[in-house]
Amino acid sequence: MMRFARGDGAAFEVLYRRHEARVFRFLLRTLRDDAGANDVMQEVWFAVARGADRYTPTAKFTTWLFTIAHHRMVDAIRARRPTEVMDLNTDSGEALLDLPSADARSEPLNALQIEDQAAAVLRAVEQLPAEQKAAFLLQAEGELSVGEVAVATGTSFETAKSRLRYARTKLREWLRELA
Amino acid sequence: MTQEFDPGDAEAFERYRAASRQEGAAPSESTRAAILAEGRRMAARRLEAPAAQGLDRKRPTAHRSRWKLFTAGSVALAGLATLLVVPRVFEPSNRHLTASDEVSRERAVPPPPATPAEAGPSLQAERLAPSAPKSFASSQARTASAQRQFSAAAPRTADAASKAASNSASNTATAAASAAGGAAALGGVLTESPTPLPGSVASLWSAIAAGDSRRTELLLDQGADTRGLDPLGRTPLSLAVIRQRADLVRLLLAHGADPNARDQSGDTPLERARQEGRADILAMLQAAGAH
Repeated sequence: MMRFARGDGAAFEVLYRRHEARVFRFLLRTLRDDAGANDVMQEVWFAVARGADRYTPTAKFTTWLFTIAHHRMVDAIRARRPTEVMDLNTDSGEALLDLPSADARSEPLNALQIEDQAAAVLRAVEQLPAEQKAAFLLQAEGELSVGEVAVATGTSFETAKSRLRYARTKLREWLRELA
Repeated sequence: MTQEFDPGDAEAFERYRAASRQEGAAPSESTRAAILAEGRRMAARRLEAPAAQGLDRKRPTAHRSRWKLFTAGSVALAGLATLLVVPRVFEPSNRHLTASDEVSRERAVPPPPATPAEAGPSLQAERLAPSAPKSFASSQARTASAQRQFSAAAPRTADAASKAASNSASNTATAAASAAGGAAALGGVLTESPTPLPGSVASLWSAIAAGDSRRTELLLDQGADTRGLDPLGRTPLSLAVIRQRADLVRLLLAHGADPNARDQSGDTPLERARQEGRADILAMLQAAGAH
């Protein structure tokens, strides 16, 4: 990143190739829309290219990158579905447990009939409530710690921890049912 | 956090990652091309920007804010270092002097004269301290001379005058030996200090946060406190667990870090390890007595 900030175009390409898949998967799972994910992907990397001067080496690059990705993703969801609840200032992850639709739990169960178990796992992740899904994916794709997830999502450490805990608990239950 | 660690936590991650990779999702070629073109465009613009900056002669580099900050910081640091070092170097007590300084001091200080008359002329003082620096020898001569004048003006006992000369010469010698010892004396003071160096706790945080195991071990060997909390209320062990650094966790436990110490949010390192889904760190903590 420092090389790119000094004007090395090849360094940007290396950086992009290294993180391309992880950022795209994060956006695809959260937005659940291929075209939308491509649009936001472009916005994220444009922001990286234009904001390289603002990047400080004290922060981990992936934390910075996924913070941008998370913000752009939230903007895209809000622009697309203004009525959808995506309250980043919620202090507790528990209140969000009621957010998924009534058939949210049954959908992963139906995945038992899906031959491709991998697709069922992805489906289960996509069924998580928005904030829990974002927190889970920031850890799974961005490899961020709990503290870094809190920074990226603009929440407290405790909130990030709660969201991760609930996401893991749900996935664990669903995976057991899948097994 | 009463819930027990379940291997399902790690399994959820692993199964998701495997499934996600298997799916092979990737952005479209047009998106990729647009991003890479933008990267090249911004890189080219950055290459041009420094050249333009160099031509700006209206504002010399030294007047740029970052240089001003750097200069102010350096001056402040130098002042702080002076405040810390000077009192220790010129301290009358020889508690912090190294063995080599002791030897040089003994060679430099003449034995106290039994009577004021034995103090002799200034040349005699110079002869008694052949290895001392010239400035120190003349200083000692002046001390002896002053003592002689003092003895003539005020009829005190020979013992009192002798003691005064001895103390004066001793203090002068300590200061001179310390000053002549320079960096060596300072090194002796620092290495002999029985307490951890100032800032070693903050350094420990810095080393753990940077994942620097060598520096962490060095600081722990020097006695850095493993019980303190950082500004976010975390113990060193908790931070190492959060960073998922099994090697640092092992180091901290080996240096006596409490595996059950709670951080400000009330979590133990064991609970942090569960949150991070690291079974190896969890096992390490449990082996160290965490419960």
